[in-house]
Amino acid sequence: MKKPSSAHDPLWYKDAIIYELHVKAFFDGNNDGIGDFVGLLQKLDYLQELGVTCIWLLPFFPSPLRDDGYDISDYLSIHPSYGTMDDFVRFLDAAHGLGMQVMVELVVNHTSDQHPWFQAARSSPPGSPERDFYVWSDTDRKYEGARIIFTDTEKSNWTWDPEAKAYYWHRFFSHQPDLNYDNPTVVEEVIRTMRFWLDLGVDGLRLDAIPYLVERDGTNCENLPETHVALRQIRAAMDRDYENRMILAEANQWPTDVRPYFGEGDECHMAFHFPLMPRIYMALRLEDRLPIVEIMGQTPPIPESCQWGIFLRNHDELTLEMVNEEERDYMYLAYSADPRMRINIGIRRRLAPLMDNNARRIELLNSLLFSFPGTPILYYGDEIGMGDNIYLGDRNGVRTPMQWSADRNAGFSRVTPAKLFSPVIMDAVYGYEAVNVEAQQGEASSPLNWMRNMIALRKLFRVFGRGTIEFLSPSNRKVLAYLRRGEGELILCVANLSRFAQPVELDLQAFQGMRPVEMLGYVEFPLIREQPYPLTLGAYGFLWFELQRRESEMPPEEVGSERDTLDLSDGWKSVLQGPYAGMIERELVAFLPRQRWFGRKARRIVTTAITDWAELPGSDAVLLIVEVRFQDLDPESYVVLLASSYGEAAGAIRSSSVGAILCPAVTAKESGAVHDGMIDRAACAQLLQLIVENGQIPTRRGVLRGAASASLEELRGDPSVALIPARMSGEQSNSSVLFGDRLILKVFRKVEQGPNPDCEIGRFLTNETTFGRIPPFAGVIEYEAEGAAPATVALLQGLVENEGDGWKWFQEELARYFEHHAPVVFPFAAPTVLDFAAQPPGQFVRDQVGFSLDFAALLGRRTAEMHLALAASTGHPDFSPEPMAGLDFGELAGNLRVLAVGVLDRLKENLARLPDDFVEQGGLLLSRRRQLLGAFQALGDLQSGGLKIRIHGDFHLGQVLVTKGDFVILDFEGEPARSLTERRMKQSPLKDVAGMLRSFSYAAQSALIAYQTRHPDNEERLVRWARLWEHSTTGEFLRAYRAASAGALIVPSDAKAFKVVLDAFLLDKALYELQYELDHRPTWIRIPARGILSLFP
Amino acid sequence: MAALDSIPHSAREQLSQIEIADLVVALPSCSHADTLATAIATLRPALGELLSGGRVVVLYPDRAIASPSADPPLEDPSFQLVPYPLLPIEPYDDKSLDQGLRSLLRVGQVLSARAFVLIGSELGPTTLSEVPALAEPIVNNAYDLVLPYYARRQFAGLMNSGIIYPLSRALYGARVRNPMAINMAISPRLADLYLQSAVGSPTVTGWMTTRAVNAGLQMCQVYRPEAIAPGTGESTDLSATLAHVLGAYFLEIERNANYWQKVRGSQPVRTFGHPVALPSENASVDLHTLVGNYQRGCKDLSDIWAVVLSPAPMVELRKIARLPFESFRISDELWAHILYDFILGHRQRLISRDHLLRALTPIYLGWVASYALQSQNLSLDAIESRLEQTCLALESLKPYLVSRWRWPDRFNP
Repeated sequence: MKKPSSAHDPLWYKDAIIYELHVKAFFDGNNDGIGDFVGLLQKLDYLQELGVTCIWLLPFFPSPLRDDGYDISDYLSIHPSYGTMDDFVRFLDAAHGLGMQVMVELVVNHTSDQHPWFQAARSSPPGSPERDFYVWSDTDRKYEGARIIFTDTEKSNWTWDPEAKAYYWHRFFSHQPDLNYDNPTVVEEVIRTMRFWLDLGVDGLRLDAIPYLVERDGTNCENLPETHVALRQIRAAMDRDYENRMILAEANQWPTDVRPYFGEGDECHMAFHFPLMPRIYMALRLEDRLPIVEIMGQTPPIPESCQWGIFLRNHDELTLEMVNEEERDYMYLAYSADPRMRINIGIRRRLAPLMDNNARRIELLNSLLFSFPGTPILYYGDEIGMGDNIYLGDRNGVRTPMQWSADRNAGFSRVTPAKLFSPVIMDAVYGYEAVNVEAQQGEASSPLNWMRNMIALRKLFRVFGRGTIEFLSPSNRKVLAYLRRGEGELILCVANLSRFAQPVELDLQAFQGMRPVEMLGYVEFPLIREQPYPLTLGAYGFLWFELQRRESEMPPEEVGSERDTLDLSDGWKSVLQGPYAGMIERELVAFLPRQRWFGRKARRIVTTAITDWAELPGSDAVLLIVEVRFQDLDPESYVVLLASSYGEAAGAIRSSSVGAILCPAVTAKESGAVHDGMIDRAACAQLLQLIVENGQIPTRRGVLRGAASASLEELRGDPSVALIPARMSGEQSNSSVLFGDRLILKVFRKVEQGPNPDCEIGRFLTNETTFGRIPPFAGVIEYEAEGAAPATVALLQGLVENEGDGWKWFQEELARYFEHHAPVVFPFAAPTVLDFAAQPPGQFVRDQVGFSLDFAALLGRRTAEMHLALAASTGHPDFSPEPMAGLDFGELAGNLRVLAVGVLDRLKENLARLPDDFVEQGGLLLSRRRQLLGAFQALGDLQSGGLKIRIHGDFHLGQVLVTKGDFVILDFEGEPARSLTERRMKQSPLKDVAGMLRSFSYAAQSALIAYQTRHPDNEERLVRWARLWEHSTTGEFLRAYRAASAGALIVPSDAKAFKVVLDAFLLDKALYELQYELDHRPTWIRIPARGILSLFP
Repeated sequence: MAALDSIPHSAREQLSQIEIADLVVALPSCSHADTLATAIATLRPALGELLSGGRVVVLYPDRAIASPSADPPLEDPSFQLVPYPLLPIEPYDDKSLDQGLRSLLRVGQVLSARAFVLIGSELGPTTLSEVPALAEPIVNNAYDLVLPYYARRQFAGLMNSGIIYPLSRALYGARVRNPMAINMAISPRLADLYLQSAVGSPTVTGWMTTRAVNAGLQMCQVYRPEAIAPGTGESTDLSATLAHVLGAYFLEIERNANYWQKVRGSQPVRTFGHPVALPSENASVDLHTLVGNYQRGCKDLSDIWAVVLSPAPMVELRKIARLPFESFRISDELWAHILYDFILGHRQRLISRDHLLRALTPIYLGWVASYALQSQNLSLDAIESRLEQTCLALESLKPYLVSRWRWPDRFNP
């Protein structure tokens, strides 16, 4: 019989405190020397009191126990040493009764060689269904690209089986043959196993070793697409029949490689963040926050319903697979002086010994664990500071009996000590007589009580499990400071990684007027003012602050005069015309910064005001025009589409898109939520309808007007086929919805009066020119307030079938390029861009760089064709080209110079806080100040050269789609941060050219960083290969551009003038990037800095 | 119509005939046919006016009244009487209150009522007039919980004025004057929440207030004359009453810890109507006895107090015990400190919870004596200001409670 879910919230795992334990090591209920479920049941109160909300059980299935139970010989039973299935069910029910979820292991990459499946496979003939359960080969030379994981014990991933007379594949121990995921029956059996445990009521499954499920020749046999197909099948089976369950992925990989295991929220709910853990230890020992900040900077966003699992220690060694060789050496020296402490690629020690039993260090690390984004996972015994025994084999030294009391066998069992499954820890420092639960329960200041208090505090603030993280950059790098934001909460965490007291000044200007309240002692600190906020932290000290508004800023209303739940019983009209409009406005203050499209997240919103609105007929949605008032910025207006959903539909939104919810809603009949209308199909369909019908919707103070292009009918296709709206996930300053495979609607969130360049240029190119490499223009929605010029609210275009954008395409090419060239010594000095631009690359370069060259050339040609079309003489005043005169160059040079001075000044101010290995490069760059600014002088001195035309304005590889061997150019909106007037100005087309050249440079460097994080060796060699790729592709792009635009006079015909203008735009773009990286990703600052220095060698 | 399964068989048929009602009123203390007749005569016109002819169903105890007195208005479809297995509600008796509430709310759900009114106190003209007064903010203004704001006499309801109200206000941030009133009106939304909660919640009335605040529901008060309730219990066994009331209330505090730790300050709750002026009285209390009880407690219970209280308030309490009668004072700050220490001691189970709460009795009597000494010659307005100071002291010392709740330690000031 299937048991219902024990959790009520589908996202329960985001707020969980997970406690990892081994049944055999926790408590012995029958006194046979081995822990069991009867014993575990007796200790549930302890776990509940500690604050644990989810128990993760290490494997407890029948097994020969040659790998601590990860060698399973029967997936559907309990190992007799741990009890019976009835015992398990009693434990499970009791845990649920105490409000705790339970997670078990699904070890399905491999089985034990004692599993009946393997026994049948080895004795069955090749090609038989039984044999096909595992991966066999006649040779041990297959899949040579796969590394060996257990380097201490295994010499090959293949082992000869004399009975089968063939080699079988195993990524781990030779007694753990890998299952064959190319056999659909294996997937079915895995799902059957999953169902068995879920039916019993188990809440979570930890999927062991999932990167290795599938093997393919020519790859490293990790993270293959076929693995994801299998995972999606498993997840779909779970979602179909079970509610509120969870899958946790064990993928010891880089964050970017783990990201695909979340899929689009349709694979794993959680995944461990492996690389963070060693970097926490490294940062502590180095007394430098950089390792932590860097790895968090490389951690990509994950779907809203997903979560990272973070930990300090677990049952395995402290793995060092996700650090480079130098870092590994450092970690070994820092944390494992005795070679016996090392195993495989890691260190087999517990937390307390790693910290030399220093309570403040242990507390500091746990404070990071509890305040970083993700769900914390505790390893049993670490809450009391248990030690380890490095003289036990394998990793058994960190798997010793739990120390309950100072009684015999640490209170774990009453059996004769010799019969214990493992000796208890008995040394003077960590021995059970000194370190045990009973003693610590009675001591208010014990590690156990400290942990209990911290867990309670963490659980009090949902932002820790669900909010965002932003790192601050104080100049003292021994201090790690970060903000956690979300769920209506704002927390500042500050940690001193040093063994001495440290001063720090934090830039908290954005929170001026707020009061930090220290969270452990609820102590009010001085108000935040304009000046940097000074703090002093004791050795290994940490502070958590809740940033609270001053009471004088709290809403003065009486209780009862406001509602958190919106009553929509009488529809939107009664709400928006009544006093509850104020409630929506208040909710919007918190809602807007959560939206990806909202570009002013860093600014503090003071109030919002709904200035106009209209209900969308045929839907339960309303379109609002919202004026947002900031503390230190002029007000801006935004389009906010809201809809309401109820019952199951609302539940689905809560579980998949909780950030899209504005507030709870009720009607007389049901309850639900008000949410972003862009996820409401009916609302999106109504927007499309408005365009299709050339319709109008009156608003309170104006009108929404739809207009279809002549080609819409053709683009839409067969009208009898419904076009199902689907929200696109990668939105930036706007939101996009696909309608089937025919149309795309882009909603511009910021309301700006006047022609929108994206619509204007799209319409111009479609109607007035023959340039066809853009998405076809299909229609528009404009909003016209009384007495004001129309503002474009949405743009409808034909959907172009594509293989992804140019950035993604070139990144994939580069990944292959680096993979191929990693072992190859670079044969000569790399030529420069202009060398390549002057003449076609030779055969050697063609052979090395391959397709990228052809595509770069094609993109150069398409760019020139776009500019020629935009410069076409159509008589349209907004598009008529104008000559670039001396005055224009002078003005341009002046503007660029001002921007450059600002960026250089900021670099100078911040140089000390930038990564050490950048300081020299930064200094060099600052020393070229005069030369840099001189480049603009040369620009200003030009008297003529080329034309001013309308340009793309924000041209980079992400703005082109790769379509059947060609490109389509997108998004003529310009840089969103600039005003509409600026974005519509005519400019030199070389600005676009410079933008694309910089984008090629970024692509090469970004792919190099991604490759080197996975393969830290061969650094210098690959830098040269990267340079070759960058210079040859940008050279090809430029050569093709010039060839295609030759004779058209849109760019200076004089080579020297061409170089002056292009260099000025390249410099401007690189300085813009420098500023961006300075503010957001200091570890990436080398990329633009190198680009700038390459202009001034 | 919602399922009738939860309704006793005796009432099912009648309710299924009624089908729908706008307002359901439960009168569990109605123990005589005459009282019921008076109730009908009072409520029928008043509620008819409020609901503009909408349907009212009144539940009365079926065991107490075998049949209504003559002339039951059963033929009037807009005002129906339904005998129901209701038990009288004793103040602070959660079991009876929970039973009464669940009966009322289930019937209300079955009849899809817009509002539910429970009158747990003794019925009389004043109490009966509370029904339309409490129902009106729900019917006309869509509130979720309406509680009475009773006019106060100098020495009446001191457990509420000195402990429950200041604590409720400091912790939950809403200035609800009678958070544990047994007369109330409830919306269907709050009714749903209540019925979803476990049977036998520690403090039903406390639950109502905290749940409404916690869920962000709309709450208001209605000015009413003095509460009429069968005995406060204080005169019989004060220690038992204190242990009972505070035990349940402290449990509720523990249960809502995640909520109240984030509440700062307090805000007034909208109150309908006008304050009721009560005629002056010449009440007096035996202050010497109260002070004597305190001094005896200080001698006998010091060891228990020392387990719960920090050293500084302990020293203060001992000092006060030695003061001459006329100087006897327990300051608001000290009182706040004591209440918070007892909440913390209760949470940490430092000693048996019942023992701990009973040990508060002499200190409470000392506080009553101190309050009486300070207020005996004051006007009601001045007394009100005096109690406001007590409330502010609890609000101001709340960070102490939060910090010790978050970081329990024996090493306190």
